[in-house]
Amino acid sequence: MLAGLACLFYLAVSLGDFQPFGSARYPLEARFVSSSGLKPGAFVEVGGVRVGRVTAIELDPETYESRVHLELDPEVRLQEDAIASIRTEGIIGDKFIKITPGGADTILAPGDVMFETESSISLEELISKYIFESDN
Amino acid sequence: MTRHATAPGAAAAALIVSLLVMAAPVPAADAGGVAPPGAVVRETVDAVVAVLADASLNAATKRRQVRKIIGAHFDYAAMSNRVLATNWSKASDVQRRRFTALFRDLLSHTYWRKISGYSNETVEYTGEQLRGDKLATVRTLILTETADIPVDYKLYRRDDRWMAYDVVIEQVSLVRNYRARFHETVHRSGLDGLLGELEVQVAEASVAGTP
Repeated sequence: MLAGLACLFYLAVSLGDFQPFGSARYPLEARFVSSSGLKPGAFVEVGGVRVGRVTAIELDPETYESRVHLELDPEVRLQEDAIASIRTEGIIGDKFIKITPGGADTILAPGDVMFETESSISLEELISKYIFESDN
Repeated sequence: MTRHATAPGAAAAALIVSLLVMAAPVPAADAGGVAPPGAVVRETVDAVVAVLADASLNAATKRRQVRKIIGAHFDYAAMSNRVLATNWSKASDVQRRRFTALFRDLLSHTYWRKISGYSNETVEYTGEQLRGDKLATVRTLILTETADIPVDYKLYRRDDRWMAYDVVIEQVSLVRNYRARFHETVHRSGLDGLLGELEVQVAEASVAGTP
């Protein structure tokens, strides 16, 4: 009976990203011109390894930018010139955030804002834009 | 919102005007006597466009002038630091200097081919955003006959002037692009391996691209 409950608990924690003891992860914010297609819960990766997730996405009413809130594993230290890019898993998969580490001496502290970002690339928009340029 | 004059006569006028602007101490300076980032980008782009549109210059002269104009407002060392990222801190001073020089030459060859094909595109300035007092983004649109291409310039404040360290075209960052590419090379064959490869690339490009 107890073992069963423990298994259930383990499943809830590992499948549902449920953290009963409070999150040890630290928060960061990244601002994008567009975060089209990105959803809360999307994962954050560095070097192909999942190290965090998107917790919330909101619109900045003044700049009309997308403010994406992230949380990252405590051992992942990012330089202030690390770049956050919104990418798609495969060609039609879900969007996620890929971070390429930088070379600056200053490390981002919990709650800091990442300045260097690349927004969602809309393949449809790009194709429709450049399809008419094939003559040169 | 400003559009460049692109008629031949106007282009010559633009050259003279922008040369005067370049020679002037600082246009529209803020309280601290520092030209705002938007003005720096506008000045630089205007000056480059004016050189490219000047029919009286030959290709070699145009290239030399463009390189000089861009060199005054692009911080290649800051760019190299960001491109090499984690590998920069491990590099020796000699390696850093060599990389910076090679990267500058590589960019100069690669982008000269692109911008020398300039044919009366106009540039529109769509905004400027400050991040704290050290970082800024200046947004522009290059209007071609068929498409509007968004180009953002990233600048940082170095002492009393704004210098560019990244260009983001269609949401693709130049620094991020080269960072990913070079990181793989360094992982595979070390920093000296990367420097060797760059030397070959620059040498090939300068043979192929001599105007």
